[in-house]
Amino acid sequence: MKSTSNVLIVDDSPSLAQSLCKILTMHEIKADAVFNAQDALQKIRRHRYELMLCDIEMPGYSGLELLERIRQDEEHDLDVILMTGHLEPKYFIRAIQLGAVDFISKPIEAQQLVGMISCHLKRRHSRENLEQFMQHLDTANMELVIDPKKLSLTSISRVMRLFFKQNLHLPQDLFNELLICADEMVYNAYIHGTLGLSLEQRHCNHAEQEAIILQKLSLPEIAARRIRFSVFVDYQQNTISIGVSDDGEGFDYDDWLRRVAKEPTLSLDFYGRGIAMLYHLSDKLEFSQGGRKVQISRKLYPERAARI
Amino acid sequence: MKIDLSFDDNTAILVVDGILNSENAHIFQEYLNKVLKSEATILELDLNNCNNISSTGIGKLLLFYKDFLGKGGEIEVTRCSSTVYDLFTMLKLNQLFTVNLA
Repeated sequence: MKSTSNVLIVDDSPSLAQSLCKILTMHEIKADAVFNAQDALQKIRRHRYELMLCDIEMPGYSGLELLERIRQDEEHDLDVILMTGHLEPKYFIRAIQLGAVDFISKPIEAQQLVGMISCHLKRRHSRENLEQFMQHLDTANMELVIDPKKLSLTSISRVMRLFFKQNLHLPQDLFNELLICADEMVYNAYIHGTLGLSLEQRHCNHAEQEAIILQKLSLPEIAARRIRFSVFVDYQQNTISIGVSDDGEGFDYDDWLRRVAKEPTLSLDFYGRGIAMLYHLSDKLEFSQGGRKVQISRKLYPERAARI
Repeated sequence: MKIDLSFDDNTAILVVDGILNSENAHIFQEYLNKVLKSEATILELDLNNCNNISSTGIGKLLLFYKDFLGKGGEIEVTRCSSTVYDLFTMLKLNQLFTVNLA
């Protein structure tokens, strides 16, 4: 058993949660305990656990509601075992739908618990071998050419998550910042470079904007445009680059780069907030192709040894 | 992303959970519109579990701010993560309303 295994125990009974923690620790399984769902969410956001052992019946959020919240946020890759004294079939089905990997009945028998957790951690580590192989590549690259008519069906955040899940284990904050950068870049390529929406069109309500976008996309010259999205990870250089280009008219990026370099805490103008955010969140921000292409670069880890 | 909205007298309490980006900023806007149409004159924004906000999300908040200010409203970010706090400071939003770090 790896001593680095991380289990989070969630039970509203502190004595039970702490006892389970001790049992796991005795078997060299590192575990933390919290006593409600809110604290569990906080812990999960700040720490990368492999498995959560969670009571179903708790005051406030139940174990199922906690599981539902975790699954809404795709960035958490966490196996969940539910503990219960009694589970009605409809809750059981819901738990399976939400991806609970196992169930254990209360009162809990220590050997059964340790065996179950060891088994799930072993399976997980086997799954992670593939990820580890991917992480020892020199480079990884993803290139997408996106039809703007299909962009509403594509969640760039989801695509990024899938790519990152296979290729990188980043600290949560860095991962979130890269997601925001990708979102900024693709959204700008779509709204400005592809559709050419005016300020008024960008700020009308969602239904009106959807109608305008549909009308724009019905024009052959706009429908023919494409958005090119790429992610390049260079493990040797310890950097990631995200690039997005469009077939629009571009813009005077030199002026913006001068402004943002002079005043990185850019104003609240309707224009420039996105560029300021990219500047703020990246190590390097570059434009090319007359402003039709934007690329950001970022160091991945303070030290290469920090890679998992 | 998940949003919860509740009211307590003249205070609207909006809790945002997850990443607020261009894909879901319109949902955030719908909730802000509900606040605008209500009797609330104070908006308490809880961003403690909001991992990050894109410029689209910031844009929706600014549009709301102008309308809400027009009807005598005030915004306070009651809690936010350090990432969001840095972002609000960078964009000078902390000059428009109180932003509290969690």
